[in-house]
Amino acid sequence: MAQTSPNRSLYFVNAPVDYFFVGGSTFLLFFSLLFFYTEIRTPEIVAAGVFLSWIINWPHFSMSTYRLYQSKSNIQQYPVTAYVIPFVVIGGVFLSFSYPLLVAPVFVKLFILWSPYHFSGQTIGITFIYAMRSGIKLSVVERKVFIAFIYFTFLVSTIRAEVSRDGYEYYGITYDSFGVPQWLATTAEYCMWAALLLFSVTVIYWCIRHRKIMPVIVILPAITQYLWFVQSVYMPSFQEFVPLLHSLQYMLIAWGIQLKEKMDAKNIPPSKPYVLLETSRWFAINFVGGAILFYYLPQVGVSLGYSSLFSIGVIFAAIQIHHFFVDGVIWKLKNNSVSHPLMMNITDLTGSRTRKRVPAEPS
Amino acid sequence: MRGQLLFCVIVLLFCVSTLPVYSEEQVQQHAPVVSEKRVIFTTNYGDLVFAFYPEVAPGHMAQITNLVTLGLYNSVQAFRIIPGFVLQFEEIHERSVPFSREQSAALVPIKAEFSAEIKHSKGLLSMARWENNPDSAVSSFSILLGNAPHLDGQYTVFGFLESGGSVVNKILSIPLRRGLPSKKIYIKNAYVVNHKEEYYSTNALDAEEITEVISPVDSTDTTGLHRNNGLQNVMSILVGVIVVISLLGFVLQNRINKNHVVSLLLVNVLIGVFVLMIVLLPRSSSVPWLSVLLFAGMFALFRIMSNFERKS
Repeated sequence: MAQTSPNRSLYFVNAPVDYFFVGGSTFLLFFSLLFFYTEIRTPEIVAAGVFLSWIINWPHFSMSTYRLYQSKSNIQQYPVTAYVIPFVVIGGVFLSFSYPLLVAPVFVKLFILWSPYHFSGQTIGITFIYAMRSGIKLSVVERKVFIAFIYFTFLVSTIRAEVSRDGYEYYGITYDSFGVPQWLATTAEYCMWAALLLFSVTVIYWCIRHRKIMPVIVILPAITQYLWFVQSVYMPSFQEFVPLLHSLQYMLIAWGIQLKEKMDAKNIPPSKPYVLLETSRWFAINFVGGAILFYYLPQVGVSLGYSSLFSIGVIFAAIQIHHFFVDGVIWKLKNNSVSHPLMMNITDLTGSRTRKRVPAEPS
Repeated sequence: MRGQLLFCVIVLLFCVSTLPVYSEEQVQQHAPVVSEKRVIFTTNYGDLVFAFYPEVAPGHMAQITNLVTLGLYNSVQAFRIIPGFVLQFEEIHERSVPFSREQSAALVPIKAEFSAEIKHSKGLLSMARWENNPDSAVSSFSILLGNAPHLDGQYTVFGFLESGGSVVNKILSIPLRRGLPSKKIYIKNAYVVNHKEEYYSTNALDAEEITEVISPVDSTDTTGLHRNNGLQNVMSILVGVIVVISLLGFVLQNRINKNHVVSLLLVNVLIGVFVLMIVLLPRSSSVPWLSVLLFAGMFALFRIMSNFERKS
């Protein structure tokens, strides 16, 4: 693991804000629920989850769609995603409504399996973003160790769920489980512990080599995901908020890139009013977008005579599958158009001169 | 061609190998002892009164009455109606109302109490469980709408519907929409009485016979897999048309390059896997290697999909 001398801030905003969005909120919530409230899913927890969905989770889905379709150049960059995928997903919706017991369960199953994988993709992405921002260049082996640990947390939770030989239910849609043998779950768990060990060794080795602590925010996303998928699986009160916490991470990155890209594209001078107004405009659009996608769109199914529960199940699955497709392409760090704005700091947007820099490593 | 034929034969063999074997044996039933306790489900269609067989299935009787006393059946729905077979209530953990700590602790699996004497016949209550674990029943159970000898010795019969035949018939008159009840059927309130007189002193016994077949829809459609109505045909055609139009629009608007072709191929792979899952997923839980293969395939698919649409 090498380290270059970065000429940029480690954080999008500042340490408290970045830590809160990336993983601090997860730890705060987990320990608050564990020690001061409850591990079970109480009516208050459910109500809080629904309320926060309106302002965090649902807008986050709208944000990826908005990012893809907000400019012609974005659409031209990803034409298959922009033109073909919506129709493929709509096709899945039509077929699910036509064959509710044949197609809908598999449509939901696809979403259920893809969702934690998508979470893992984001975790890996954020890890590498902060590694880039802190000037750490990960070697191929180190990258693989990080990725292995993150994927194994996903695999352990998913395989554990798939050991059951009976199905599950998502908004009244019953879907089959794979019924994989128990030994697969046990093996995955051992592999995850081995990956965690390697992950720890890699981090410790880096710290010894550079005689300093690796920026915690680089390893925070992986630890956060471990908490989501492994440590808290038997804590329903916390599980209620996991999608929200994932969305919270997403919002920080999407917000930063949105403001930086627009500023660069339209040659807007940095200023605090720009940050405030553009943040408000962007959030308002996506709040409305989220409400349309998750609140109003399921009503279409209801108006066609389907139960609201079934309609919600199919539409929610469809929106999320579409989101996985879009997110899978619009955040490729190898694209300069993506990675460049991802190095922004709020001082680039506000024009403030008090920029903090990560100190260069002594050679 | 030979490969395709071999694949079809393998799929066919899976289907055949997992078909259930039905027993035709008929055994004379003896009248078991009936408890004085009654459980009443006040549904949005009326009251259902259940009586128990304390000597045949004491554990099940204790479980149901305990869960009812804790208020756990309130808001639970009847989600499955198969004419001539079962009217089933969902598992309590699937209800939308959250649990208290005490309620959550009560939701534990119980041991099977199969009986050689009591056969699965119309009006009896049969406990649901996971397919491959006899001791996994928790809360979901069915009112049998007809005789089901293939369940004998496989599932626990623990009581019968004493009153509420007209309510069941009312529920059976709800049209099924693609195999699912088109209206919500749920338990507004569930409670236990220690002596049946406590209930019947103020309520009449409703001993109406449960009808064999429901009429509003095709009674052979119990799964929704065989329906072929006009709307479905229109929707299927529409899907095809939409996909074709979108592809045409895409080709016309963009000069296709290698990356586009790869992405379009990946879309087809995804659709192919989707179709394969429709065929194989219901069978996978009974074939361990197939389940592992399917799971690994899905993970590989997601990995491949991460290469979807490289920058053009």
